[in-house]
Amino acid sequence: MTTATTETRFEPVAGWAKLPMGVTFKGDATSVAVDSKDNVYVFNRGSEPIAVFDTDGNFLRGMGHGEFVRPHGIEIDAQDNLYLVDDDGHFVQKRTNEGEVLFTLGTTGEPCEWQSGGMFNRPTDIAIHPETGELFVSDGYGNSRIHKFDSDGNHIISWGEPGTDPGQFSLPHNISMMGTDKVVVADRENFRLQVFSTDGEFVEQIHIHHPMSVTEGKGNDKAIYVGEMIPPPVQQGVPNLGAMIAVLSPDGEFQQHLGGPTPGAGVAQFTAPHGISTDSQGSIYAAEVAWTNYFSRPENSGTEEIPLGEIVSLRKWRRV
Amino acid sequence: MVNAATSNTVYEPVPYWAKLPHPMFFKEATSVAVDSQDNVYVFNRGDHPVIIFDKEGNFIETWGAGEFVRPHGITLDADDNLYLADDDAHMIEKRTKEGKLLFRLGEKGKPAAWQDGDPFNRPTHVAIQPETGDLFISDGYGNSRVHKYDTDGNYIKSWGEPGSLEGQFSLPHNIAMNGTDKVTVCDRENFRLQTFTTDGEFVKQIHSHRPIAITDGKGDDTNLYVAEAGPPPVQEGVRRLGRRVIVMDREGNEVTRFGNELGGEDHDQFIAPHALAVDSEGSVYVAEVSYTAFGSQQDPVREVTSLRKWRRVSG
Repeated sequence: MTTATTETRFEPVAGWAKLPMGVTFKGDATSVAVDSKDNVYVFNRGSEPIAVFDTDGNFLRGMGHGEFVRPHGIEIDAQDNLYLVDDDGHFVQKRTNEGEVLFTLGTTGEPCEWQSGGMFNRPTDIAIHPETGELFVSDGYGNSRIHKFDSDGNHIISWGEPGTDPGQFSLPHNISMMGTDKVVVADRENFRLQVFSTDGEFVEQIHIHHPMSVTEGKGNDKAIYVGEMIPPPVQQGVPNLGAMIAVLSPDGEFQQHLGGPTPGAGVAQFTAPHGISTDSQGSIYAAEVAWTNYFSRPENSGTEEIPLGEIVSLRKWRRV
Repeated sequence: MVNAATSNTVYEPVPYWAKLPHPMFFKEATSVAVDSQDNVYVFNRGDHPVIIFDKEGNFIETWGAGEFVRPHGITLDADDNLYLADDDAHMIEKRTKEGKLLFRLGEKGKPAAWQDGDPFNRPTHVAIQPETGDLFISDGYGNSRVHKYDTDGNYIKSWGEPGSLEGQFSLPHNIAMNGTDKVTVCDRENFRLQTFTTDGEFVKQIHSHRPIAITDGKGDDTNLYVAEAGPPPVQEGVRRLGRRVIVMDREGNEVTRFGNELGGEDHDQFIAPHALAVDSEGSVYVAEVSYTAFGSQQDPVREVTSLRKWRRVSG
């Protein structure tokens, strides 16, 4: 699949995920990853924390019931192993494709000191080097840090501290590889992406609206896909501010937006694109925290109680 | 007149600078401007909307009681006339420094349609071209727009729309001249400064942490001064996230900065910087909406410091 540009067309696939009766994301699909067979793994806050679908949205299996505190991020390596980031659990876990635990980084339920730079305090996401298997963990809600591990989970280096200068973070919320020599971090509350070498050297910053999620295309698609969060309350309702997917060129030039112009439950809208992935066909999956970040606020939904019905929190946009 | 500050320049806070005649109060000092004599004009939300001090902080006079809805921004031109932006009144007023109304832009209390781009829906601030007297108005809380007028208040043009791409805005909150041929806008909720030609052509964007206020130095001081707001609630308490002043050259390269790594009430801290001004000695005044951001949430509510002076002491 070629690199997406301004010319590439995407269209939303309504009702893509087919959830068996009784399986729910509870409005928070949170994160999504795609394996080598284009199967789709949704790490969610519902009844089956790891829900697996085929490319047509047919439910294959569920895993991890009762084994996570608060699902936040998922990634899959070249061998189709799963890496799961549990922010309130303060751990990152590697599992086989069938869900068997291979190793756990961090201690479940035991954070390091807030903003100390240790490991971890509410980690958010993970990126995996496609050749070496090295791991890059963004950390997170209670830290301002990137941690690098080898493929066996041995700590190598960490970088970053709180702040707004290059190399500092205000809520590093997502991380992705860019090729084999760089990583890109969604520096969420700094409204920018930051690009680093895999050794942690600052390369550049790219302005973008409130980035929640970031991923690189698969195969020959070198585009960068960014899920943008809604604006702060003072700008509520203003069009073209977040709740969109931004497609960027490999060097960070804006190409196009998907969704918008305002947040919502519509087929071609988003509310909170919190995790993002692409497949070998160039299609885009966005997992949202639609309940936590949007519909749980009465000004958006008119209620403080989670509605009985399912809230859309998983989107597929097919590349056409 | 001083030269532009450098990385060696030292600033120090001047505690208790403003001396208010009892029982006058600011509630909060939203904005501040300095005239050609280095007198200081504070546009505030107390009972006396415009209060004027000399540079030692001695009270000179006040006017404007009952004449404003919600003070927001104040700017002085080369002839010491005042331009007052009242956001909830949806108007800009030009007044003499004695307070006499010269003209008003916008209809008091009547907003343009929300986010339609017409003047005004909660305008925030004015910049003045020093040679032509052209006016540039950031607009604002209910619009995503910069409007340009001539010196007599005749409308020339507008630019901007809601969004996060180049030339789009998310709450344009302050505007300043950048030399004589460019303006720089605090695109507050886009966490960036945007610089345009005086005809509205996009020039560049500069990353900044929720930039809320901007002003340019006086005379030979070619630097820009930017005040950054604090972080959203999710990051409250984290160090080095705004609540400080950045001094930068006209290209946006940081020269120096001041303010504590954390917000607060101490003399070297800021609570909610909202506007700033520089005098001929290079000293910096910062007005803060510290009642809205902090004092109103205390039990009982209380007025907290909302006007700071940082004296340029060396360099």
